[in-house]
Amino acid sequence: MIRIQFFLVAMITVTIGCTPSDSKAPTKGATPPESTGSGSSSEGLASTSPWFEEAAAEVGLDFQHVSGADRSKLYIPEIVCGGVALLDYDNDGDLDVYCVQGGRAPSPQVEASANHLYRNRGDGTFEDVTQEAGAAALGYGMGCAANDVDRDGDIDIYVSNAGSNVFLVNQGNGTFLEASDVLGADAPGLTASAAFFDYDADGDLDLCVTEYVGWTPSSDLSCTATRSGHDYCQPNNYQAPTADHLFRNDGGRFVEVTAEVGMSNAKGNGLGVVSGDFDRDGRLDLFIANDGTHNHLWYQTEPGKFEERGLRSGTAVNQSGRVEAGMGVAAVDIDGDEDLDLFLSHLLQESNTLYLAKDGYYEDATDRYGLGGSSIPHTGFGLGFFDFDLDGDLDLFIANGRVMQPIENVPANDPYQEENLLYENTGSKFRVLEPKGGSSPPLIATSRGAAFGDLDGDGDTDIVVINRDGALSYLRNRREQLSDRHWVMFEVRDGTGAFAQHARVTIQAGDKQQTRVIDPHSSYLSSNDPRAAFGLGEATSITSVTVRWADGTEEGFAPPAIDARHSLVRGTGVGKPPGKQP
Amino acid sequence: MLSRMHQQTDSPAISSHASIPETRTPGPRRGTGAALSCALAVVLLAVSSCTPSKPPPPITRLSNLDVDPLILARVDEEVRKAADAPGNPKVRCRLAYAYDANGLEEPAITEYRALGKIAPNDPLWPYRAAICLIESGNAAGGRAEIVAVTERFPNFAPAWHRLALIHLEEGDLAAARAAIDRCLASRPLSLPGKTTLADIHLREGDAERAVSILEDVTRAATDDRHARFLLGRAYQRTGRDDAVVEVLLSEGAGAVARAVEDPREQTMAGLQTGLAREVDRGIALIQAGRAADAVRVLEAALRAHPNDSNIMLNLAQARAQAGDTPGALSMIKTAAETDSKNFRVHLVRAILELGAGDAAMNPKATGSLGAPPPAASDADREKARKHYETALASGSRAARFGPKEWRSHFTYARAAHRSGQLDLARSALEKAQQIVPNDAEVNQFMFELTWQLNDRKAALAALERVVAVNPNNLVSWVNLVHTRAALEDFEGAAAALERARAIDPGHPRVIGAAEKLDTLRAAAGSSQTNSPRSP
Repeated sequence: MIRIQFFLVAMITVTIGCTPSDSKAPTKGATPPESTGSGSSSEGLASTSPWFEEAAAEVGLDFQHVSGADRSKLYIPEIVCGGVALLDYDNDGDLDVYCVQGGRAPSPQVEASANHLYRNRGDGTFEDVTQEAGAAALGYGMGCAANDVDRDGDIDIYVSNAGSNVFLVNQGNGTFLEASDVLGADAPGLTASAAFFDYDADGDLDLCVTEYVGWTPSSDLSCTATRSGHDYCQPNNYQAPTADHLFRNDGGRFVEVTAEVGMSNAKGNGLGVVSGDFDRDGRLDLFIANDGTHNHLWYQTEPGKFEERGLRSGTAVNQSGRVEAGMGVAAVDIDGDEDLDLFLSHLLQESNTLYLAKDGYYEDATDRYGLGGSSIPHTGFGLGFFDFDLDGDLDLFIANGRVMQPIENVPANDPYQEENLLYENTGSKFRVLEPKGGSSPPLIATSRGAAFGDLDGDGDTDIVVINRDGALSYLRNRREQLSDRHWVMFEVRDGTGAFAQHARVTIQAGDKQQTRVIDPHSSYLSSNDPRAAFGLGEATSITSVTVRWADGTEEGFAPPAIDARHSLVRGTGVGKPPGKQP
Repeated sequence: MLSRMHQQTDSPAISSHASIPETRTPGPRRGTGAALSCALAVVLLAVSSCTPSKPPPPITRLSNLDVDPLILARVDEEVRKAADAPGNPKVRCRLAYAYDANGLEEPAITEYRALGKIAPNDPLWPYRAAICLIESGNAAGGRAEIVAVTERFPNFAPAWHRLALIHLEEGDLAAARAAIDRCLASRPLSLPGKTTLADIHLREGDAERAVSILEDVTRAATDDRHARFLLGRAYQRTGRDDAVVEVLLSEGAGAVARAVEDPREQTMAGLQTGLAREVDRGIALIQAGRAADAVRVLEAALRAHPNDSNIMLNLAQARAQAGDTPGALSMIKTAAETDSKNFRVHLVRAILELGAGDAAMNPKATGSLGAPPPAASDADREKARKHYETALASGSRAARFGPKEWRSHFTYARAAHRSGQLDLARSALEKAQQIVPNDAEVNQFMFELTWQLNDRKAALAALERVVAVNPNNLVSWVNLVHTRAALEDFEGAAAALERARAIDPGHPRVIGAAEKLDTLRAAAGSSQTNSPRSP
């Protein structure tokens, strides 16, 4: 019998009101700025200056993904795997990196399938601590989700596999314990993305896990593309769409309630998942990006009951009525009207799609926002909206990589590779920046999971990308280009000290109001920095900070100093914001 | 994707002339007379005697032999015909279509280019080559060639329509509008053209105009699912939100836009083949009740793909529907041996064996789930027992290899029930119930089974689920009357009786249930009165 020890970690962060907790100097501040031509406004962005630099090797992030692909027999998990989580597993205030490894699909219980945990030393470099931390979690890995599942103040990890999934419980002493048997939440099929959220509002985190297709190694198909010969099958070849999984946290054990809540009523080829209150009724809902089948928008229509409303809401298929190949997904408020819009990455020859929430339904606004044409030649997976240039609006990065070989001009080293894309938000539209993906040389790979966060502690957002059968990419934001721009970052915690999932943080700086929702679970197979990061442009002060907690109550906090990280802890604010009622 | 839009056809609004290339070189003007014709003939004769005539472009043969044997056979046939008449555009056209229809874009493009040399003033060949280029993944190259076709053949509506759709995908509504206007100028009655115009209006935010156009289109083309989807969306945008909208959206989602076609393109569909296509054809024929045709199609497919269990699976079902039970059982047995871990194969085998067992017991058996098998001779019983035994083994395998599929457990339960293993049947059925807790069929069977097992409470629970799902099923309400009465819940039984009466007060079952309830109530009252423990 495995005995789990949950260590209660003392709250050591100084969290009275809104206290700066940034004790680290930016690690790249000493680098002299290059001549980039970047001005202080977004219009001044030089179109060819690299905004990111590849720094994985330099900082010790030496993860090499292995899909196990062998041309004599191809297994479908090999072409869609590879997730990553950014988490502060050792509670030292900086982000560590957890990389999910593939292996060899039919026989994953070998060392080659070990996931890797990299500890951030605090000086911008990393060390592989997989063994001492007990974080290998053998199994053919797909993705992961990181959160404080047991509410003991440290971050745990759930790993989705092609096969049984693994729960890694953080023991609070720098090590993890595999506790899948105790915690449950196993879904032994081909699972993909996972997201923790408290759907029943009972104060603990429940879990949704997508399942791609009803697959086992023995049921794998062999497919021959008419044009390019032997290649991976498409999910619909299996004709085995499945229900996704919802696990309710019942006092620390995750019990499958998929059928009970109504989520077994619709099946699909689930890959991406994101949660949020999409219909603004105060209850959390779910959105599942399906690959080649209708997307599912599960509205929680009454407590504990979900109804699938994808088609009626306008999110099941695109505006032409076409079913698309949903991979990654994010829920953000693109147009600033306080509701959650949805953005999905898709297959080559389909555009990525932006569904804009509008008066009770969603409108396909992909073209209006300039996100259509540029994405048609690519197959998108990981994605994230973040303010890479600290100008106060959300930009977009998409990790790309094919799932079928091209017919001509097949790259010799990797037939599935594609360039990644970085979009700048210009206020009314997004535009692709050069060099593609924002780095030079551009990242051209079979990219899959992507996670976003401030790894080097300098206030801007960096990117980690898992590349299938390639080295991990760490795209470090070149802070020196943003020397005249300001930022602020918040750790938002509830009364227990855990990250306050689905809290909305709104700040006013200058004439700009910005909002972020605390939710690390979006993108593709990945978990992001759980903190709320804001770019302030040239604003030199913040005039208000308000948090709307998941239960709908609001709390104001004293305006904090800029260019620093702060904690916002529930109950420690300055009271309700003026004119606001719970 | 723009892929395969050519598979659906435009109603040829002006088909009488549309098959004629639209920029054909004009013939001699009236009145120029025979003299000119003769002179021309003389000149042509002189030229032909001096210059050797240009040989037609060579036939494109398939170099990649790693293709589906069904496709290979179809292409080979057209190659043979084209080799006999390499200068005949009709024959060459069929060869190009055979490649095109079967996703072999590269040789299709080569053939279309050859046709472009044979008949240079026909816009169809460069147009189809451009489509193939797009299909092959070269979207930019294909787009450029479509533009070139519109410039060279400005009255060729299919190219304008395609260009409009490309602009729509690119989000350039103004350019899409300009292109669709050109398309409709050439074919003002084209329904796919009008549908695209409505799509543009919808994207521009003018839902009222879109509704007006789409209502006309869907009246004229009731099977145009894409237009129906757009109409659903357009209704939504005008504030309508009712069952009609839901039906339009659910029926139309996933359908692709119909293309404005050159009528000659319709030939292509008949040349399409391949494993998936033939299996789909077989399934469609089974669903249409044309089992004999399905058997023919699937047997041909199986000859080309002798180890494909999916074909076998469908062929077994087609044979069963055609009345060839031994052929069906033999086929599904082979499928189970070929693909032993495929739960679908075992599931279908269990279902077929159950059917054969029931037929052996009584050719008129209705297959009622809980009904005891009717009387039969010993030989029939033995025959049925063997079928049920095989069904039980197959059902067990289906449940093992398809543990998340409720039908596997349900069928296993049926087989166990037929074999007299009621506890096993209940256990399997409970698994099905866990997967689909509100399924009426599963709960109805659970009701019948637990009733048989004398577990009235479980029977009641299952039946209550049945009526919750099917509140207008009279028989279920009557059963509920009996079940509640058996548990001495007379008030509940009376309530169920009222529901049954509301559906059909004069139905004999309702009248019978009312009488039974009265009798039981009276008996219970009397027994309570006579009870020694009653006060």
